[in-house]
Amino acid sequence: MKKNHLSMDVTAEEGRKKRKNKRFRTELLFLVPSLIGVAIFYFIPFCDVVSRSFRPEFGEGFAGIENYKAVIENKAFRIAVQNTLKFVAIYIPVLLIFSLFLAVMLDFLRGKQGIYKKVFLLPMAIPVASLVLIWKVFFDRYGLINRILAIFGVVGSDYFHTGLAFLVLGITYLWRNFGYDMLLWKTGIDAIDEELYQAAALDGAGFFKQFRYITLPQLKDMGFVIVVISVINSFKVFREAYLIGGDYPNQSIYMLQHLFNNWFVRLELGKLTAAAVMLALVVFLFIASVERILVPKEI
Amino acid sequence: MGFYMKKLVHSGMVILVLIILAPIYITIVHSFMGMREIELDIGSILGGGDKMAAIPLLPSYPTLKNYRELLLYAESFYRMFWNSFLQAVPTVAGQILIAAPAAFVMAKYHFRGKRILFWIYLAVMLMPFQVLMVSEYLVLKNLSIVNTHLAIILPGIFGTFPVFILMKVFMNIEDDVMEAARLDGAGALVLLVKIGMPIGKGGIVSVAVLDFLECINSIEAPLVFLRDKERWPLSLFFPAISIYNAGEVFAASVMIMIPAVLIFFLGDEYLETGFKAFQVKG
Repeated sequence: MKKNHLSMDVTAEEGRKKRKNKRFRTELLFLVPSLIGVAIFYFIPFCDVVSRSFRPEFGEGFAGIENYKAVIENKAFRIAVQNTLKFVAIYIPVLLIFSLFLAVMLDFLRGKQGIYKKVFLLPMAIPVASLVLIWKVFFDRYGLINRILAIFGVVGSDYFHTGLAFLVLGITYLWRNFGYDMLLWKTGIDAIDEELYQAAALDGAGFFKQFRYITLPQLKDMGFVIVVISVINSFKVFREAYLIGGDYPNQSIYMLQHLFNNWFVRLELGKLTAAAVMLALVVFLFIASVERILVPKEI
Repeated sequence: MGFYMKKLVHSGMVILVLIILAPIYITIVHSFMGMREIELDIGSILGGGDKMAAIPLLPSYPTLKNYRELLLYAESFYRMFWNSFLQAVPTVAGQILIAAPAAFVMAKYHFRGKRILFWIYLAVMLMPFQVLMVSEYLVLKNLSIVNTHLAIILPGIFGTFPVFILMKVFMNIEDDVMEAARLDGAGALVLLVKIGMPIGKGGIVSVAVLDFLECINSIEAPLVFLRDKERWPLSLFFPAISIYNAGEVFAASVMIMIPAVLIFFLGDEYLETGFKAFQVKG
């Protein structure tokens, strides 16, 4: 019986190969529109950026690494890199831990949690322009936050025009993304085999032990995906930063995107493209380090 | 113990819900207030005096004046609203149309160079807009579509985020199902429409919802590719706010929120299915 089954598998395999050769072209046609678009709007521009980064800012010729030097010596670039790194290093871990905590709490509640999920996702749908106006009402020097602080006798600050702007931007990022990340964690938790917990409970493992030895390890792969999404979304806080502070906001929230935009407006393309190539390299390095998890094994 | 724990967790959640809803509620409340009341409430924020803002629970003299003025007189707002849809709807529709077949082939067929292709798509997905900004502008200029809606729509259509997610969705299709249909003589197109689409429905809707939100919130691309304010979408609606137009701006904010929240709740059911697609099978 077993042997029979095997031989059937082999013929199926051969058949598949034959059909694959025959249909090879039809299937790949599906990819063509996407490939052409990606080539025109992303790949060719990228090659152009790389080649521009080695050309002089004005005129023709080959500039070697002049532009790269200029970027690294640029003071605004250093500030922007520092701020961007600081933002990523502080708020992504905070977001991940907070949303995981909430997901575990939600899981703990079992049934009655649908309404929480819905509300927690809501901030994702609030347009940036609306949010900026609301933030003004909250974080202005005379705004609601300071009013509430005043009740407790605390004198508040001006949140937009001091270093605290960095905190406001962080809160914005957390406010917008925690629900999304929480739901992703929850999806991961739901996929864990219930029997693992039952076995652990029989062995006398409590809530924290179960979390440490079952939940956390099982969430590793999902965690990487969430990190990637959180990184992508961390680039997007620039929108709020831009609408709150314009081209030149408080120095604490002067991000790489502000710098790129300003270079673009002033047509300092040499510096812009050199910095773009460096940023792209960081992205490539990031992908390479998480590739094992992101690229499905079947590929 | 468990009972009290649950109560505690529930109260924590309720507090969080209030924190999320408070900003939205306050916007709505102000949109129904007249100028006088807004001035009393948040006058100092808008530039007069040093009185602390008040916490309004309900407007004392509710009025629809702000909405009326916004809809009747604010021509630019109406135009921007329309621009947003002109840009978002074709982008999302195009994305799905382009991404679904590509994702299907990448998920269910083998071909040479697939790994490299996937790598490139991943890089496109993760690349910040500013990296390609200059050269993308030049490409759009060469196609002579700078300053038109197409300058936003075309690059948007070929974004690879939907391919990435839909690929994971389609990978859930069992090989046996594909094989059986193939034996019945179904080609790739039939397989996609008859098997891929029904199974991937949730994933596709969730991608559409996420992309729609992304589109109507996009700021970077319109700012760079649309010099002409006539074509600006609503995401760039950010007038200098003063005591005289504050009410209208609040009403505008509510109007901006409505389509986003509506789409979001319509697709809500499917969002979770979409999220499941992120689950990597070990």
